[in-house]
Amino acid sequence: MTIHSELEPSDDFGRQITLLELIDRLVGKGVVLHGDITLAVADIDLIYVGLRALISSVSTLEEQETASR
Amino acid sequence: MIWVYALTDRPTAVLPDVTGHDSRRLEQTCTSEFAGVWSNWSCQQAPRPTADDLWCQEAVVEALMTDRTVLPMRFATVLADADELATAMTSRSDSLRTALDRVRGCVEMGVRARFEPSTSSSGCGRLSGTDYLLGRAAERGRADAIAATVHQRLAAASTGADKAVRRGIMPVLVGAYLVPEPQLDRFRTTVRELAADNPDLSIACTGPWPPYSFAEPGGLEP
Repeated sequence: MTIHSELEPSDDFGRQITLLELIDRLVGKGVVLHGDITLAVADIDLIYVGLRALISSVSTLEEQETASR
Repeated sequence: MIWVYALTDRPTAVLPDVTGHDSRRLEQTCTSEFAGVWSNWSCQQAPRPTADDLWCQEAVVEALMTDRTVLPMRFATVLADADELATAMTSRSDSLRTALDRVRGCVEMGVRARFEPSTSSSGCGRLSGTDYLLGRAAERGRADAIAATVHQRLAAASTGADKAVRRGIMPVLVGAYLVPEPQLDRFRTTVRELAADNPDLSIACTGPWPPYSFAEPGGLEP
């Protein structure tokens, strides 16, 4: 794994920061294609939602809506 | 169904020797310009954003970015089949081409800065309520000013920047910076200088990451 914290030692705090950064990126960023997903959070399964509805912020949706007009 | 990890600019390139979720073999669907990398996924099981699954996806994308330009997908991008992926790539070819051009030769660096003043207004026990609130407001203004300065310097050391400023117990600055690989050392040096210049700021820098924050338009500062 090449990901590491540059300024924090490789301790629990550094790993927590890195995991937080990973979650921010994988769940909140990246290319969005139209599609449907089923995400399970904790032990609550089958939270079935439209992909765009789940992970697009209101501002992003507004920008896309404006751009498509 | 298929779980898509990333889009790349090398449809003829051989896939790296790593496996995807549930140890499934990687496959790719190609158009004339792009390749979408995926593995089969059983729809009987809901995607779970566990640390292991997140790191698995990250490992696939990192392996791809060693020899090609990648646009990482958002976690749990599941499509019906390879045909649907090909259709999606073709219908978005203009924006995908623009995004690939923007991130080519660059990596993403993450910076989290937390304001930790050595003398906090909330720590003084004999302040009146008014003085306490005025002190907190001044502290917040100082934190905002420092965050703006830090972000400005890091943005100058990169080709793209994306930030969020949070208050309270959250970090004062959560930034993502698109940095050309030859300029990585310069960027890291800038972070160290900022840490040294601002003793009230706790800074953590992570990366290099695949360019998650720059894969889609929006939120990107020039």
